[in-house]
Formats: sequence, structure tokens, C-alpha cells
Amino acid sequence: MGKGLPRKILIVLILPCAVYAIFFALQPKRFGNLQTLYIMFQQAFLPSISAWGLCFVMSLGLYDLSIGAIIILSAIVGTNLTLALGTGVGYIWLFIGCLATAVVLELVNATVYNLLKIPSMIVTIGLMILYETAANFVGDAVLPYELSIFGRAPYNIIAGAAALVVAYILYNRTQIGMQIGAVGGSEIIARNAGVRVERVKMNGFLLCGLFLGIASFLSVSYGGVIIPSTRMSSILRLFPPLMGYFIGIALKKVCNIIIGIFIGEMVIIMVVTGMVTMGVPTTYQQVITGLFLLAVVGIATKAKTDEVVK
Amino acid sequence: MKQHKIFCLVLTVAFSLMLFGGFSLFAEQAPKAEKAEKVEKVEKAKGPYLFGVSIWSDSGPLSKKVISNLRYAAGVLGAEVEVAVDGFKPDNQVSNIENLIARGCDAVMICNCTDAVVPKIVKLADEAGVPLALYFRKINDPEIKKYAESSPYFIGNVHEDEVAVGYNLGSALADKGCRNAVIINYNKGDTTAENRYKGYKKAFAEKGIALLGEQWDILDAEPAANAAESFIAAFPELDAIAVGGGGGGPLSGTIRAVKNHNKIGRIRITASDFGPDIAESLKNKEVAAMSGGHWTDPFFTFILLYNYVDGTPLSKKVETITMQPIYLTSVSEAQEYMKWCMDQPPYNDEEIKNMTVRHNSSFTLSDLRKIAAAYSLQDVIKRHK
Repeated sequence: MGKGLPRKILIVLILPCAVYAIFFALQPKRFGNLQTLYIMFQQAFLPSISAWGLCFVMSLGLYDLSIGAIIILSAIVGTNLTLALGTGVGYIWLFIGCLATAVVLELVNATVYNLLKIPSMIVTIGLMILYETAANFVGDAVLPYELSIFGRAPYNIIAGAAALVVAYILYNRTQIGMQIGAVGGSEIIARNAGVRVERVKMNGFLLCGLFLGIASFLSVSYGGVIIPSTRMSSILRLFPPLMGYFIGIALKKVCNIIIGIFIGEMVIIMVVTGMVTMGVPTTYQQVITGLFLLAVVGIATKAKTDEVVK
Repeated sequence: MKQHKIFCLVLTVAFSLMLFGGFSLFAEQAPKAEKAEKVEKVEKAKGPYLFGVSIWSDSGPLSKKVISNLRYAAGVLGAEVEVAVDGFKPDNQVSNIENLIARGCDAVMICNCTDAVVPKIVKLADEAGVPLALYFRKINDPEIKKYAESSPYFIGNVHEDEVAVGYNLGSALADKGCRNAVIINYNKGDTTAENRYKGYKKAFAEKGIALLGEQWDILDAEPAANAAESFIAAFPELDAIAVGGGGGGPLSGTIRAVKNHNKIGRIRITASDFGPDIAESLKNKEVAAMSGGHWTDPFFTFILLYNYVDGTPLSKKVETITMQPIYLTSVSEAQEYMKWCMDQPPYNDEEIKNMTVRHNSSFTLSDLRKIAAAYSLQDVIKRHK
């Protein structure tokens, strides 16, 4: 382990360093400066936090397609709570409102899933529609600038780093995290070993809610406005965390998934920012990002398969 | 167990229905339920007229204002409005028109997401014999325009001079001394977004502003903030950000990003579509100039259609009405705008009635054109003060 650790760190760093080097070589003046790196570092936290939440559900072999709708509704409820209760220490109310709403909504997800025993994908699509509709009933949320200190450095970094530590501990160092891993590995074996699978799944959804609450809090602090989605467009918010999660899975062999997700998000943001600074048209940006994701996950999966064959 | 399965089946069917058919009406559930009763009455009493409106969303600041203003005008004229959300997706737009026609609308209007969708919806209107008009949109493609104009049921369109909007806002940036700009715009391929972009580019080229970068498909505050931050980091010389539109969210995100980097005053922002906090933005000098308030455009489309449906068309050929948006450059203007245009309708009951031949037999298309062309903050204040 002692000898392997530097090698693993090196392997993990290859990906972001390679991406950075490519764009730096192409745009040395625009891409390479410290401020660009600092901004990309900050931007990586927001999708990472959602991805950490998603990780607790997806590690169980479940899907949660409602995370975008939950983030939107939680941010709207949190902002309205803040505006209603006064603006003195408003961001505390904002945090509580966002967190409580997201956890409650994930509790609903888990309860409906456990009751109906139908695929989580169907349950969360149905509930996503309901959450979107609920958000439409409540209306837009505009957060005053003085209450959005967690949308800018260093507070967003502090909140993001705290979420990283909590996610790491919960996933790797607690009984809940171990049980999630066990159920995700084999539900039957876990059940036979005495694990209460339904409760573990419930915990997975609730932990997801915890991180989605933090993500919605940071999201409304960052953008300042949350406008409700309609016609399932909130699902678009699922894809950035999902891409980071896939890269996290791909890097799992050499790095803890929670760290891998952050690296994945950082790399995706580097790719997008690099293309923006190069003036690549938006359509091609999407194509290149998609191809990049396929390449990273494909190469990592290929490496793992080769090792198994050996 | 059997009950459990039946429950699952019912839920699955309900979700499927929402997903693949009736969801566009889901957001409008309450008014629809009310309307369902009235449709029966309509058949018995031969009225009121029902107008179908396909719109990109019913939740953003601009779309909400469009809907409320149309409902108000319809109420004054004893008509009804049925709204269907299309998310700016071509297939949804076609299915919405189909559904609205099938539900018995006397006329339909749409803000088409691209020229390419126009032939299909014109064909649907033709086959059903239901008048159709476009709002917020002009048809750029000459062949599609020719096809639409050959239809007996295509009444026309109302739009702003979007190239002029982009040009005026781009010129405002030049007047403030800006030399290096980026553009954050919404959907690529959208006629309005493309025309505003053309206007900005024209102004930049004429006034010597370098266009450093552009980012499209931005519809929310968060991605707009991301894009603005990336531009700020990559281009230290950046002194202007033009936000093409998107309903107000992208403007708020851009402002937050510029504020977070302490660049307010050093980076000027212009925008189309007023955000939810326009007075605040102007007060804090976060925005150099804004255009918006053009939610009256669909109202003029509605007036065209109402007169047609009522048997007194304002013209026997396809008509295009062009109007100008409202430009705001100061806090006092923003406050006046809120007072005279937002807190009360820009056209009162009497003025709305006077735009119909039923209530004003001397009303003509030329009058409607004059009213649309005159629309401005000063015009509204002058009429209502």
C-alpha cells in the first residue's frame, strides 16, 4: 500500500494534467493562468456535490432522475423561507430550507420506491414531474446578493471542501457507507448476511438528499435566481454530476470514488473551459465533451478488463 | 398483492400519459379543468372564442407575463385562452398545435423555435381550417416564408426588429467605451437569438469592438454564471458581456459572476428580456442597457386573430407587424416601467375593445400597426397618466 500510493496518485493526476497540458499548449495566454485554474476549481464543487449524493444511490444499483427537480424545488423553498424569516442571518435559513426540503423529497423518493417495488428509474421520473409542478406552483426564487456569500470564494470552497470530507467519511468510514457498498455489490448476499436492505436503500436516498440540499444551497447562491423547469427539463441538471460519477467509477481502481468524482468534474470543466477560451462553437463543445467522456471511461474499463484477464 | 399490482399499473399508465401525451397541459391543469366545462357551453351558445397558445414555458418571467396579458385581453373580449407548453422543442410544438386544434380552438398562435417547424404547423392549420399566427417571430427562410404565405389560414406574424435590438444594445456598449466583448446567448438556431446576434455583430464591427468569444444554449442563471466566469478568467481585457436573452435567468447569473469578481463598472452588461430584479440591476450599475417589455407582441398577434375569427379580418392577406421593445437605461425608467407596464396592463379594457372591429367599426390594420409601432414606456405613461 505504501509503495502503491505514490503510483496511484501519479496515475490519478495524469488525466487532469494531460487535459491541462493540451489546452495550455493550444491557448497558453488564455487557459494557463492561475485565475482560470482557481475558477475551474471552484466550479468543480457544485456538480461534484450532486454527484456525491448520486453516488450513494447509484452505488446501490438504483437511479435517481429527479435530482435536478429536487435541487430546483429545494432552492425555491429555501429562498422563500429566507425571504420570509428575515435577512439578518438569512443564509442559515437558506441552508436549513434547502437541506430540509431536499431530504424530505428524497424521503418521498425512497418511500415510494420501497412501497411500490418498481424500478427506481420509473419512480424518480414520476416524482420528478410532480416536483417540477410543485416548483411551478411556488414560482421563481431570487436571492438577494447580500445573502449569497456562499456563491463566491472562499465560502463556496469552504462549503465544497466540507461536503467532500463529509462524503468521504460517510461513504468510506461509516456503517451506512459499508452497507451501501454491500447491497450494491450483491443484494442477496447482503440480505442473507442480515443487512436490512430496504433500510439501507432508504439511507442511500436520504444521504443523497443531504448532498442535494447542499448543492441547491450553493446553486442558488451562485446563480442568484432559480426558475422552475417544465416538461422534464430539470433532468438536464442530472448530466454534469452523472458524467463526473462515471469518471469517478472509471478511476475507482486507483482512487477513492469520492475523490475520483471531484477529479472527473474538474477535468470536464477544464475541457469545457478550454473549448470556450478557444472559441469552439457550442455544438462542437458538446460533441467533444461526449467523446471525451466515452474515451476516458472506455480506456479505464479496458484497463480493468485486461487486468482481470491476466 | 393483486391490489398492489393494480395500483402499480394505474400509476404507470398515469405517468405514461403525462409523459407521452397530455403533459403539456399538466402545467395548466387548473384553467383546463375550468375550460372543460365551458367548452360544452361554447357549443351550445356558439361562443366564446377559444384561442390556443403554444409557448416555450409557463414558469419564466417573460412567459408568465405573456400568458397573463393574453388571458387579461381575452377576458376583456369575452374570449378564452388555452395554453400548452412546448419547451421550444419542434416535435412538442407540432403536437401542441395538433392538440390545440383537436380541442376545438378557433385560432392558434405559436412562438416557433425554428423556421423549419413552420411548414408542418401551417399544414396542420390548413388541413383543419384553423387560422394560425406567429408571435415574437419572423420567418427568415425565404422558401418557408413563401410557403407559409401561400396558406389561406396563415394570418401573419408579429415580431420585434431583433437585429435592431442587438445593434442598439451593441452600440450602447460602444458608447460606454467598451472595446472587448463576449456574447452569451440562448438556443442556437432560434430566429430571435440569431437576429440579435447579427445585430450585435454588426454594431461591434462598425464601432470597433472585438468579439472575443460566444457561448450559446444558455437558458439558466447557473450556466450563464459559469460561462461569464470562464470568459472573465480567459480574457483579462474583457469589458463587455452581451446577454442575448433567455427570459431573465441568464442575465441574473451573468451579473452575479461579474459581481463576484468585483468587475462591476469595469465590465458592462447589456441584455434582452428583463430579469426579475431590473431596477436593482440598473441602480447598482450592473447593467448598461436593457431591452424588454415586448410581451405585448403576442397581444397584437391575438388582436389580429380575434378580428379574423370574429369575421372582420383586418386584412385579406398575410400581415407582418413589427414593434420595438422598451429600452431601459436608468432606475427611474425601471420604476416607471414597473408602475405603468407591470402593475397594470399596458392597454386598458377600453383600448383593447377599440382594437376590434366588433367594438370599433372604423378600426383598421393601419391603426393596429400604429399602436404597435408607438408602444414604448412613454406611450403607456402618456395614455394612462
